[in-house]
Amino acid sequence: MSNHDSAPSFIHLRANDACAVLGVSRSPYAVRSLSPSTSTAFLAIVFFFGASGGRQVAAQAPSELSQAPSEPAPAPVAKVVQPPIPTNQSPVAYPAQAIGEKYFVATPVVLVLDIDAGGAVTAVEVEGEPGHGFAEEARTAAQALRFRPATRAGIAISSRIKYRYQFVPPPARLVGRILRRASDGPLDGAVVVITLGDGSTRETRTDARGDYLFEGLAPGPVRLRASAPSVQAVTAAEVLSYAEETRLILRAEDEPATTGKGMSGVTAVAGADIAEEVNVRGTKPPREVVKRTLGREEIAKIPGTNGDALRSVESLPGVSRPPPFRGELIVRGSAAEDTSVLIDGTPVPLVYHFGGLSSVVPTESIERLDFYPGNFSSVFGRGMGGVVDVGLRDPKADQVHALAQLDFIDLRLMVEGPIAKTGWKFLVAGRRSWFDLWLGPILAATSSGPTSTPRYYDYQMMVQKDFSRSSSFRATLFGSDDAFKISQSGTSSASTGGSLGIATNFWRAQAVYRNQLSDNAELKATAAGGTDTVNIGVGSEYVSTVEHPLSLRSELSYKFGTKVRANVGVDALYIPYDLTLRLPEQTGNGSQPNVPGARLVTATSAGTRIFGGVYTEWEIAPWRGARVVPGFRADSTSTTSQVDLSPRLNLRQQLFSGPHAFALKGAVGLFFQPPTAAESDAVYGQRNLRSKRAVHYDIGAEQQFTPAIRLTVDGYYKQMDRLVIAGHGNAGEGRAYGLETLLRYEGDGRLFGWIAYTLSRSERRDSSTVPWYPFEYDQTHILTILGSYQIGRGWRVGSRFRYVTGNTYSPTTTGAFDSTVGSTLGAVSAAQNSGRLPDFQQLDLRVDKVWAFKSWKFSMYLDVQNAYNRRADEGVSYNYDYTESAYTKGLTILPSLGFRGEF
Amino acid sequence: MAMTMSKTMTMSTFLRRFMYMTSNPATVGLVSLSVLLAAGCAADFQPASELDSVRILAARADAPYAAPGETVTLTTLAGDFRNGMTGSVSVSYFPGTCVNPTDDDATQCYAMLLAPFAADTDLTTALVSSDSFSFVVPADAITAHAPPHGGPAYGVVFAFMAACAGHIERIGINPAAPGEPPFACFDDQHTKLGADSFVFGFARIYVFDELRNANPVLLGVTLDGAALDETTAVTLARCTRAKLDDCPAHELDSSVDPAEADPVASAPGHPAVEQVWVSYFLTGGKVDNDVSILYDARAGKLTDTKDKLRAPLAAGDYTLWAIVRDSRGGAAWKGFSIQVP
Repeated sequence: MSNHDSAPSFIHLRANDACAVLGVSRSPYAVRSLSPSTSTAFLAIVFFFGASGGRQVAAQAPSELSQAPSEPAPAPVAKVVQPPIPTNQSPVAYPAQAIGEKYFVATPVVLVLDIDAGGAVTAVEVEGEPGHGFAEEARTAAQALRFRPATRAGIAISSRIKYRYQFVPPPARLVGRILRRASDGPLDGAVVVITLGDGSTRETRTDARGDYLFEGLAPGPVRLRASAPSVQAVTAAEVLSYAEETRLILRAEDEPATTGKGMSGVTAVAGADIAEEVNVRGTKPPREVVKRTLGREEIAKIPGTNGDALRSVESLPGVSRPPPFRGELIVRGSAAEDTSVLIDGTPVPLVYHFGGLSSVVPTESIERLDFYPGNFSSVFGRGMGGVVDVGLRDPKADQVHALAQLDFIDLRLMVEGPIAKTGWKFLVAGRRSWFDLWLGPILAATSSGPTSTPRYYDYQMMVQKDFSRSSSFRATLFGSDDAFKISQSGTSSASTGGSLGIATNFWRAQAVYRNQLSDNAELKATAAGGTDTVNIGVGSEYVSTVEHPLSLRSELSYKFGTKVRANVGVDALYIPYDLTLRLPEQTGNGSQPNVPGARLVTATSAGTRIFGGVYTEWEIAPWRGARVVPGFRADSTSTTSQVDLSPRLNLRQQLFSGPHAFALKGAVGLFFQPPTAAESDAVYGQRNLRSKRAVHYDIGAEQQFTPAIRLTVDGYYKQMDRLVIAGHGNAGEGRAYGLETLLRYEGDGRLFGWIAYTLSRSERRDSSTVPWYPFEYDQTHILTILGSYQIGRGWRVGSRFRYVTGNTYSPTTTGAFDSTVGSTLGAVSAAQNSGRLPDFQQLDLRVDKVWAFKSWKFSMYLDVQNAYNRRADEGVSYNYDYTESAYTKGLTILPSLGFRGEF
Repeated sequence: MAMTMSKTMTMSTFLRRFMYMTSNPATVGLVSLSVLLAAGCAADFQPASELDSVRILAARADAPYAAPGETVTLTTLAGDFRNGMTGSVSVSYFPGTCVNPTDDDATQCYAMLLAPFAADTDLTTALVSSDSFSFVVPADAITAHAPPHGGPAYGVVFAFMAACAGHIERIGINPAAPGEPPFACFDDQHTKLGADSFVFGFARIYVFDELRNANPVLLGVTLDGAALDETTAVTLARCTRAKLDDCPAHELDSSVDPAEADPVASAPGHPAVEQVWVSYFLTGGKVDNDVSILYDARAGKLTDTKDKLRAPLAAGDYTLWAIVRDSRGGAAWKGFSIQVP
């Protein structure tokens, strides 16, 4: 799709090359004519062309050059200047990334081109970062441009110009075929008339095969009427979308014998306002009623997250705020372990390095992040909270690209590109923390406590080949390694003393195959295997596990007729494991005494956990604007030896379409989660446990105010039971309910932002006969306001403000002194979680600056968390005998500076 | 900022949470920097090592791991360290013992402990006022205990004690906080005294058929490399700085008999010994760390176990206690006099 505006909008003239602009030209002429002090004035000279792209040259005023103070007037040699003129076309296509993200907004991209005296483009700089792949597409296209060089007094000179590409969303296409119902043969020469949403009409005729085609259509509703002699007219209505091809096949009845055969005798068939076959090629709508997607550009620019992928999820509605570095995703009042995190469909054992420093997959390797806070598809099982599915991006195929980034925390490198003459493309990325190198000596010099600091690294390696437009294969190896070890003394209790070691490591080899088998069938399969290793030791106690998980996920989709798509899939997980531990013995009620010095028990065990799941899900469009998605999932779990059956239903009705689209939606579903390894462990767990269970309800609405502004409102209720209570089996219950609102702006790439507000309540109880108490992370109000604006010249500024109700805690007073180990026990309030920490509020700021050079780009950012240094109370700490308490302070103002170079 | 770990989050708690993570591995990250942050963000409380109230410092059983039918004698180290107060402290044991309470939880003994006593009654005469207390481990202490999920069969016996700067009365179990002591300390005007005047505690003795443990042997304590003598006061120059933290540091170190750092049961590839640590207590001045690890469970004897002692700001006679404990209930201590002219 060619959507470009190739006319330069204005020009910077240059003496010879980029260095000349900076006053360090190698040109003797430039040295003579432009001293460093005059170069500033030179930069200010701008040649404007008409906004319509006219190519007249506005005469540059030599007098402006001569007005440079205290400099002799330059020789008047540059009286006639001709700007460079394009001699070829290098069209751009609307970025595939934007299409994939369903970002359909007319987007200008302004480039600054360096053109040498031969007319070749030597450097391309993109002003700002429009995101969604626009910059990359424009840059690639601009490098292929050729110019008749700029001249001064007839002499070719190098120049710098601004050049603008205008990206226009790909229009919709409507194609199809008109057949005779009786013979199923093509109807040649039929007149096909479509009426668009604005009332305009377009007309064409079918060819010998009965095919018709309309291109360049505006999105929105369309009505089609086909007529021909000897047949009854047929009509159909559809809704077109950007970048999608909608295919309508209609069958016309022969005219009754009593009917005249002229065109005037054609009448519409009653009830024929239904296409016989509808095939939409493009991005399918989500199966879920609530799916929130963040693109890579948005993730990278959200203030307060250091551009980290998973930390950006905390800015979305329905997500509670845990204390820093807890590494927990608290979704709609569920426990952290209830929410699954997947990388391209494969579950991973680690979300964050050290509980929140950064995600285990860097943002640069991510295409998108899909977040399902509840009522998720039957595709996902074994979880009753939410789902975060991180999608790795495809390697770039145009040329080799590289990236290096350094900030206070880590150093990351990435190389990607095509593998010559093979059709394959690759991506290799790695990251290692380095703050251990600079923070360790500081701690050693200033602290009497722990002086070691953690170290982590992660890596991603990928090769991919697109065998055709319909099939591709990708193999990925990714992993992570965290380690930390200290010998800690100086604590107030020996329970926390001794050596502390934490080492977590995982890797996955993953293969993903996709094949559009036919217009109606699609196959996706993901297989992965790897190893998870965890070694944690504190003083006398330790846990060591090694797991070798194998996972398989495959789905076959098939479209039946015009309105039904069936999806059938398998989702299996096989985990051999070895477990070694030494912990205080579990007490009779299934808990361990929270007492140092309690009797330690050593256990070694090995086994296999097997989770098998099959599901089916049907996407049905029974009438216009409606979408019904019933699903059913069956999971078998070796730890319970039971099969959990999970029916789910998602409904959506679009009442209005177009720029002010409005839709209602609702969902209900059953979700199961097997007991954890610890809960069902032979030594430390309980026997005969069943899977935990939750019923999710959701009802909501979506209102599009403008093409860029959308409001979504969701009310939810989550009923949980069979929660595992120590010593009491599946006696626990829970409930969570609330209202989520998200007002989101997705503009032209210069500005994005949203206001997210969640009103919620989450409660638990240990059995059906005891009172409810608030969940640990019950947060009544969660407000996030964020925005990021590109102000031009490579600058982008952003801010995020958060207000969150304080977490709960259980007040504790003085208990008995345990003289055997020398510490006082706390007497915890019987009213669990009856205390409430002060509310949290925080303002984060972020500034990005990008410099584009001839063949590479340099950028830096400053991300300031807690900009006005608001005190955050994250918990309650007590003195040695619980007679004094104080709030535990959270992060103070925390600036972070990062640098990145890439080409 | 004191580098102390929140008591509400012991390492056992961390490990327990980890175990729950393994079922949904996506949250393994819970074992995370929270371990470290918990050690770095606590408030600046008065350290446990600084003595200025009624305190029970330790109780030592002559048989930390006892056998059924064996007589066990407990000895208590306690005192009244309130500044400017002259009231003597009464250290008392509650008669009888509590064997195998529910969940091995000492607070589950409270109902049994309360039973013999009436409310609003001075219990002074009903308690055993002594620094030591002996009891016989019931013969069925092991068989009466529910079989453990792992490890050898065992029983557990609790003995309760209190140090009170007045007299003790029964107040019953507080339903709002069942872990609070069911007894309180009152003065002559029947005013309930606070935590600076009353400590309620217990000693826990595990009972095994075969396993035994000896108390650690505190060989000696050195100050600036010189061995301290329990019978001779050491003289330290008075610190003339405004704040204790700015006072010169004296190196304080303790050593124990390595023979008592016994190997303990562990998994193959995970050798372990008894963890042994020393706690320091002073009536003046301060130590930088309340606790120093001497033998790490996995690393064995640590090479750097020194602590730093800051001399008091005021002249006077002071006491330093070094109390060593092992991870199987053993304890030993020594006290030293410090003179600051």
